[in-house]
Amino acid sequence: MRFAIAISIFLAVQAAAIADDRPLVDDGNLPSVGELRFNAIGDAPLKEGYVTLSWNAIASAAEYHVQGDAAPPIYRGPFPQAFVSGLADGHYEFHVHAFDAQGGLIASSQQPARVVVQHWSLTLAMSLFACGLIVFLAIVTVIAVGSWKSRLPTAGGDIL
Amino acid sequence: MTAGLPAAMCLAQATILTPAAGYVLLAVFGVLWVSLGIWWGRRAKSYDGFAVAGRNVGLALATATAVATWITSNTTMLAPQFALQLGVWGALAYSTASFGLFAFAPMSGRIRQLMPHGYTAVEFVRRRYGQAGSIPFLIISFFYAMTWLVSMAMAGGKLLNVLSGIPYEVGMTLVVSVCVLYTLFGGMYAVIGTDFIQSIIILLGLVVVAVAVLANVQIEAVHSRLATERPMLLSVLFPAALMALFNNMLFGFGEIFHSNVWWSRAFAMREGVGPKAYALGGVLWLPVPIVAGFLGLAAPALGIGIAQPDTAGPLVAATLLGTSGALLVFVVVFCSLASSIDSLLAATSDLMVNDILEPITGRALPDASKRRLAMISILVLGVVTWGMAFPNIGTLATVLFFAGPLVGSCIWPIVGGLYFRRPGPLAASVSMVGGSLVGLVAYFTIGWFVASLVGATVSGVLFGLLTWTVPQRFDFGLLSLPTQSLPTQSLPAQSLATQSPASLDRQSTIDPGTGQT
Repeated sequence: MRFAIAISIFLAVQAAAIADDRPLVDDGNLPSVGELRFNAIGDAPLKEGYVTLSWNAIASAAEYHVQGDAAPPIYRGPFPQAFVSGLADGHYEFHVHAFDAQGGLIASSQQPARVVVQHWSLTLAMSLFACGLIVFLAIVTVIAVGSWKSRLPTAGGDIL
Repeated sequence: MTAGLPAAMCLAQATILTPAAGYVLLAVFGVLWVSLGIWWGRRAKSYDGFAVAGRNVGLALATATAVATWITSNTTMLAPQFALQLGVWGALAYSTASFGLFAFAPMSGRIRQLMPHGYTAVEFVRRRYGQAGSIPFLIISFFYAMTWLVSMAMAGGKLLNVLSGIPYEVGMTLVVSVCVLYTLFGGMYAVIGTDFIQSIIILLGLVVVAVAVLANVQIEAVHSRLATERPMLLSVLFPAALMALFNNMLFGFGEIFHSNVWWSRAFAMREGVGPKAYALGGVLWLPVPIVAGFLGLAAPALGIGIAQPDTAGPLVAATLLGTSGALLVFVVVFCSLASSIDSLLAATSDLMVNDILEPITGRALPDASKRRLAMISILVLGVVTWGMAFPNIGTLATVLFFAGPLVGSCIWPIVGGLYFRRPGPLAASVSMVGGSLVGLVAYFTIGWFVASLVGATVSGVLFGLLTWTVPQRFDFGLLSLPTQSLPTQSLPAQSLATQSPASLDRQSTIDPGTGQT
């Protein structure tokens, strides 16, 4: 018990030290206004239909909008990062706009983020689906047979 | 993922709860769990009490601990991520993890029956397959336990950050510290006791969230928005999602079948309780990821910007339900985190004591020494987890699913070894290593959503072939012997060709069902 109490005091001190060291807000190094640029996402086609877009942050920005081909923004939020999913096969372009706390536009991306989506082939997907179904049924069968065999007074479960 | 980005700074201005509210909630629940840990810890007078709660846990507590442990941060945070990444199939894929609990139900009864003095899954593999099987299994078990621990520590930091603006590093440190403390004081008694309270809070909280979300969201609007902007999330023929369905189910099988978190509970439950508790736990758990997954699907329709997919669920619930919703989500996810982190700390410390430290000494350690070593192990695990979670690298899925092919390749050696005499060390070790390697190749060449499936398939083929070509005849009675009574510390199965007639005679007197002579 004394050992545990000593450890608890040590952990509490560690946690308090970390809590004291880290400011909640630190925006000293961010530009207040400027150009928005997407970080590189690579040229390879996306095979799962989702992607994380990220861009440089602007200190005075309260909200970012990521605009795709459709009318409403596909992302609205305070992060300089957006997760976009559910894209069908095709080519997509996204732009990002930064707004201040009053809703005024303060910056926009000049170059769009370009994304190509080309999903995995259905042949591969259905093959792996069937494979998974077979393995699942095999496991259930082995457990069921094993449980049944292990209850028999004479059998030793020697079916394998 | 957010390291180096100013996301946390933006969040400090935009979160629903204030950091002060977050700290108050953390303090209240932290004090509650640690106090209960100390209270229940008084009952853990022996190592048996500390590690397996005196092997006398009843149905209500056993069911609650199964549900609470399996409703992890991964359920409340990864299920919405699955839905957001892989659509409706993704939510269904996550719910298939309950099949692991159903399948483990009969196995838990068999485990309790065969190993009345057992402590760990690695101990079973060591006795069943010898060192050849136990070394890869121990490595896989340890690696998985650490990835699960780290992913949940990361989830704790992210949750507090998203909901209240508490910096990731501070939140993660506080969550890990609270869990380490109460597990340190109370061992398995504290883990199962707090799991009971946590499971009630989690299930009630999720019911409230589900009702409130359905009252605020029109399903037709969600469907319409998804069909227009994110059509693949509703597609029946979404290739990656189709591949993920059985992958996730087999990942769940591998997690539960191999992990000492579940084995230690099977040992802790009173005889006959395990099968009912695990089956009931599966039934209670099944709807949880579907409810959580709907939050992920609702995010685009509600215009809620998702920066990191693993924060979608808490963010949607908190945004929809306002401050009270954020408080509720905060409490539910904190409980789900704590109920899993404490279980992992306790179960993995058992591994360290029984399967690493005691074998190194070469003798059976006294009760007091094992108890002390268990406490030191819990502390070491907490510190290592904290160190690995601190950089916040990758999403929860990428961290956890890297272990997918490894645990998937353990399914067959466990199931086969538990029920049948013929599988031997060669089949077990080759299937674990081969399945893991090929599964990892699939992880890197195709993706995380096929790795467990490929690992389990390759492992099953190898296991079946080698069991057929090199059959053994294991003596199940060896599993029930106390450690001191074993002829050697690690006794591999003997081959049919090398067994002595006397040994075969002895086997014929063993009851195959109970393993008793």
